[in-house]
Amino acid sequence: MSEVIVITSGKGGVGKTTTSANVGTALALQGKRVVLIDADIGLRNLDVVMGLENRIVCDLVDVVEGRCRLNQALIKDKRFEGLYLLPAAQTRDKNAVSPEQMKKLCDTLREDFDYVLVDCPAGIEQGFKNAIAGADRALIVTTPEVSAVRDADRIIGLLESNGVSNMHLIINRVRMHMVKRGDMMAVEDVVGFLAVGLIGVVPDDENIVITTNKGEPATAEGTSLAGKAFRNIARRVLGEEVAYIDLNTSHNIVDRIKKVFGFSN
Amino acid sequence: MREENLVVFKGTVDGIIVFIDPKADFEIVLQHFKAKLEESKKFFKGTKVSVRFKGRVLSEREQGKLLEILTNQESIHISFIHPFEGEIKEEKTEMLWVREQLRSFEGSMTHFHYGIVRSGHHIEYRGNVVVLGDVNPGGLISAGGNVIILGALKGKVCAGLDEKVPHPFIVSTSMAPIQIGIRSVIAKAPEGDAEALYRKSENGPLIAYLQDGQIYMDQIDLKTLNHMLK
Repeated sequence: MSEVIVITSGKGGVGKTTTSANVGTALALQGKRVVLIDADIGLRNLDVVMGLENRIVCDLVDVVEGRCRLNQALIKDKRFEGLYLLPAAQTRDKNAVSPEQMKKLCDTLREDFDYVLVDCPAGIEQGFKNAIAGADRALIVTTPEVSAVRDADRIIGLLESNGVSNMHLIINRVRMHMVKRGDMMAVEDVVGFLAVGLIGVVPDDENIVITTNKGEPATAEGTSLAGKAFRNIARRVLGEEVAYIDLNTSHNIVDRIKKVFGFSN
Repeated sequence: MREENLVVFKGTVDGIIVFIDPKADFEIVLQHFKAKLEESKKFFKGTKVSVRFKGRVLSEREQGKLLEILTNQESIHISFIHPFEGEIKEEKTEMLWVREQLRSFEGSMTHFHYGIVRSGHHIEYRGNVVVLGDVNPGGLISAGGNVIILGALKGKVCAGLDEKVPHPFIVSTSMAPIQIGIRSVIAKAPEGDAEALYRKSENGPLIAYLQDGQIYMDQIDLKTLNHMLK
């Protein structure tokens, strides 16, 4: 049974593309056949984040308009077994594709892959409608900021009214020290507000910036906390029960010593 | 009044009007009508006309008689018979009455919403609205009647938009609205007082109502209700 999953947020810059790349990679590392679709036509990024930009020959619009076959446009990621990318066109815009065409495309890909991940553009216009057209379930990415949570709320409403009822929440870029100070919404506050099941909490991590710029998904190498969080999300997508990582673990040496001596709260 | 004027035919642009004496015996009127039709045979020959009766409120039986004569004659070709005068009036008032009833009925009906009213969601209803869930910021409810929210109100709610609903109110188990509107009055939570409002609702649901052109928000107790219904 294969699944089409749309990764969406409403607000821009909260980490949809990073999440798509990392969860997709993590699913491939779990031995699944995965295809990432970049639905952000005209503002494509997923290829850059995946480091596959220089291998694009044909794109999603070419496939939809019949200028090439589907497997000519699919880029195989040689680093990860079973991971493919269907890039977006850069010289066109969202109106180049219709929801019906996207649905047909997703259904075709569904036959060959275990997971079809659609990286949704920001906004609620044509690009959003295209991206969710063929989706079975949705991963909603938000950050613990009021504006991002508001937009996520709007997106949840739109997904519900479009018949995508299976959805889960990823809270990205959580800074525990700010939450502790009361300067940032806590995970429980966000979940309480949106009333949607949580599937992952990703800490704010400099490693993400570094790996994204390099075009190597953070999940691939084992060290970073965010990479681990994304791997956990992939396992939860697969249906495994995975405990949430303790974000309170401090990397500060003083705190660690305090903890050893039992001073830490 | 002279006998020959009991029934008068008058030609207009869009047909003929038949003026009927309001007081004369109806049997005599019928005879005159028949005679007039016969007379005007030549005048109307070959043309199609519409017919309108005026000057007398006719009972159903009388209307039937006139129509019977019209259908059984060959003097004039009739394209259309206008509705009888009295009939129109009655129909109008009846329709008004039905509409009135329907409105007051809708005003007393209640729409239930199950779940969260999320941002961008607008619930519009002519009667009362009950929400089993939160109203999130960016969500909007506009109701002709009252609004009851069994959850947190964090969005915008307008109640009592139907002027006929007496003492419109908004009740929520947790009040933290962006704006609240009753009738045409719109209020926002006073700056910095959102927290005080929130603390207030920890002691039970709050009610917002209109009094002297101002929106009040308070706990639901006898004192509040007395003030609201004053």
